[in-house]
Amino acid sequence: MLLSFFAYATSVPIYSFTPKGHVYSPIQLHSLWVITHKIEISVFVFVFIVFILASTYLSHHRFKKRVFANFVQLMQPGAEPPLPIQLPTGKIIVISFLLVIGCIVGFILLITTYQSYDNQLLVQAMALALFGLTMIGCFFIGGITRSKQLEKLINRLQIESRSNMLAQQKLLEADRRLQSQNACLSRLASIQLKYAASPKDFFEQLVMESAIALDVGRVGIWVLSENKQLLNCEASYNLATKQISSGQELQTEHLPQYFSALSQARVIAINDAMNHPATVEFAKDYLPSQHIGAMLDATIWHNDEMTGVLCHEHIGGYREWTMDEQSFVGSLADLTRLALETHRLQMVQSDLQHKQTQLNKVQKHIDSIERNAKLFRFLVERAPVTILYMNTANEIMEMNPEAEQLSGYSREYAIGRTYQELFATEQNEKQLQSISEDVMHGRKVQGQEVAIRCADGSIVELSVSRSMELDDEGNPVIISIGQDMSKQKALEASLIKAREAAESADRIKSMFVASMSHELRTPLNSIIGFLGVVLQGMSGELNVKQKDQLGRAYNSSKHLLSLITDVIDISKIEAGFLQVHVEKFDLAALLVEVQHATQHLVQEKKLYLSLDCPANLNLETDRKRLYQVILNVVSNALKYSEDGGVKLHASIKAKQLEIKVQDTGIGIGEADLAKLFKPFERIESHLKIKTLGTGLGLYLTRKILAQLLGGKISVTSKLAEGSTFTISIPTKMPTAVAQSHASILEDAAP
Amino acid sequence: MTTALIIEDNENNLELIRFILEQSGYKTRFVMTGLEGVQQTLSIPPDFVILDIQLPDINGLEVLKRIRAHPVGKDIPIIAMTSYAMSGDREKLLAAGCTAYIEKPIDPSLVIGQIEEALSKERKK
Repeated sequence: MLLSFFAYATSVPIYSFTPKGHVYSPIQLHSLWVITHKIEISVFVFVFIVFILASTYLSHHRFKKRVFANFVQLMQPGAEPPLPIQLPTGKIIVISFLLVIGCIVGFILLITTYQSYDNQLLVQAMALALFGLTMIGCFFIGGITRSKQLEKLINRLQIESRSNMLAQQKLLEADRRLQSQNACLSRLASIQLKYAASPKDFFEQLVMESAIALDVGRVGIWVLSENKQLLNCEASYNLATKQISSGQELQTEHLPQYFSALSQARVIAINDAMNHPATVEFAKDYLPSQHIGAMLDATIWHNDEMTGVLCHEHIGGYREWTMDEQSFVGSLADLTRLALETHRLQMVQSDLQHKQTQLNKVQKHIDSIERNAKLFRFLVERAPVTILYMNTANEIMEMNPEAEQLSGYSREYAIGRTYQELFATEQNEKQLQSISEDVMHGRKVQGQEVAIRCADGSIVELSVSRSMELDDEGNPVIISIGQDMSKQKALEASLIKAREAAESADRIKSMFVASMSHELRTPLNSIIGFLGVVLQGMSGELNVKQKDQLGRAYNSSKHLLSLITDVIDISKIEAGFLQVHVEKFDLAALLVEVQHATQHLVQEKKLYLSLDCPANLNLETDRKRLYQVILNVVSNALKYSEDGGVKLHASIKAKQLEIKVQDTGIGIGEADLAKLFKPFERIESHLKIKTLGTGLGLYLTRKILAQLLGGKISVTSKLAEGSTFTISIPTKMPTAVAQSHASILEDAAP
Repeated sequence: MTTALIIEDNENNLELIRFILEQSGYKTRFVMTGLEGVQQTLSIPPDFVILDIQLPDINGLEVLKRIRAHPVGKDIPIIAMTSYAMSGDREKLLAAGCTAYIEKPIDPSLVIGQIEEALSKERKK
């Protein structure tokens, strides 16, 4: 239909304007004309054209609505920018244009030829319709063209708005990043000093913070070893596993490109690690095995020398590192450097302190050495002995003032001369020779008496001690020390004299005590003896009065004798003059002797004295003193007992002899117990004790026990019930106590 | 009649023991020094000797030793008589050959018994 319309629309002018002479096939023209000539067909064609134009317009209208909807959306703030619209307008415009041209041509044809048509009215109507169509077409083309312009405008707006929005988003993102980076930096900076002692802790914190702030899969701090051979991982954080590790090593010689890249920049941003020249050495296995796509490395510098690298490894593909990220990483590297330097500084400081204390110690040591040297010099100079230093050839190298003074040689004179040359005489030559040989063989000479010759020819006796020592440089030196024996000898003599004086004084005292014991007793012996003779009527009968009076004299003499004996004993003990005589004996026999000695008292007072002693109780102590002690205690017990008697009980406990003397006497009050062992204290009692004691008995007893026998005496008592005295002594006297005894026979010898 | 030689330097004590011995029927001689005592004992040996220990020249122990050192004096009973002495004197005297040892002050009623006991002990030997 469209074709027939075209044929119709075109045939008319072709036919009409065909110049004369050019002939189309008449059949062809005729058929065309025949077809178009039919009014019905023409109407049909007309309606068809209208339909096409209408549908085209409608589709254009829909498009316009879409454009507006987009525009509205675009105008809404914050909305996602709509995608630009591509109009399918080119074909429509061409078709519309052709139709308009067709209509115009048809209209002109109809106008020019309408007289030739039968139905002129129809042709006029057709022409009018064609004109109308032309109008509509023109209007339509104009609308489309405007739409097209609008579309372009909207599209431009859309693109601009979209790019604006993207830029804004980027800005916001950048702002967020910057904020978090700043927060991270300030946090790290604030804790940096706190971790000065342990930079490792700081590094761990740093890598963790950095990984989180940059959202990087792995962050590590690598520090070059001293010899630059190794790159040691101080701390590494894995964002996915949230684990911190350290200790990995990389050999620098395997990574020349990487290092040359690092040494040239503060921060290297590697957006595509697989294809970047700096990381090409990692591309083979490290990067693919760890799925690293991008790296951001910041170098750590110290004194123009690279000391390490802060390495960010992006897990995944390509990543474009922003400027702020790069500068952030640079700042982190600075912080790392700061931490390292602080630590280094601290190490240096503590090292310095350590050295200072060591220095102080050394100084103290030096001081003490100096003090010692000073002291030593002082000692050498002031020592009251002669001190000589000699070399192995016996040449004097140094001598002290005492040596100068004693020998009469000045130091200046003596130095460089040999010992023999200065001090030898004919008599001491051999001795000096042997001394020096002994010393040369490493033997020490100690206190050898040598008579040396002095400068003035006098002879001085010295006690010489000499030995070979090593000086500071390890050379052998001979040190000879001499002591002037004349002083020593004088001192010895005076000491001997003093001792002799003391000894003679002591002897005189001993003699006096010994003589006292004899001289006082000798007259008493004859007094007592003669009184006894007279009393017993050996020189004639006495009357009762005489007997009584002589009896009193006799008792008093005996009392005086025992007093003197006790006093002398005590004074001897106190002077340490009375000594023990140890012998072996059986206790039972000794107790029987005591029993015999007190027999008369027992019988007289009608008491009893019972013995309880195990057989074969062998003792090793002073028999006479023990006898004296037991006799004393038993006599006392008998004296103070009016009826009943005394029980004597002996036993051995842990090598201690224990003798209990239990009486049925008057007993002793608590107040008196303390006085019991004091001299001349007698217990007041209602009893008129006929036999007077010396008042020294228990005092002496305790002295003998404590000072001679190494024993003791104790008492328990109750008034009116009796007392128990307990004597205890070692069964075997310690040898220290047992000494040879002093004897009247020796002491009294003229 | 039994003769006793008393060696004693103190007149009173000498008189006392002489009196007691004579009362009991003994014949007595006496000297007052140690050396005389040794000489008398050995030249005219008595039946027994009463020996004081404290003497002006040589002491009793020395007298005893000298008498015992001589064959004549070897078997003569010697009774030592001394003041209450220090421990050990008794042992020294007995060890040097003393027959008995009587402590002063002597008890007149007991002394003769003590002497006779010593003499009879000596005779039994």
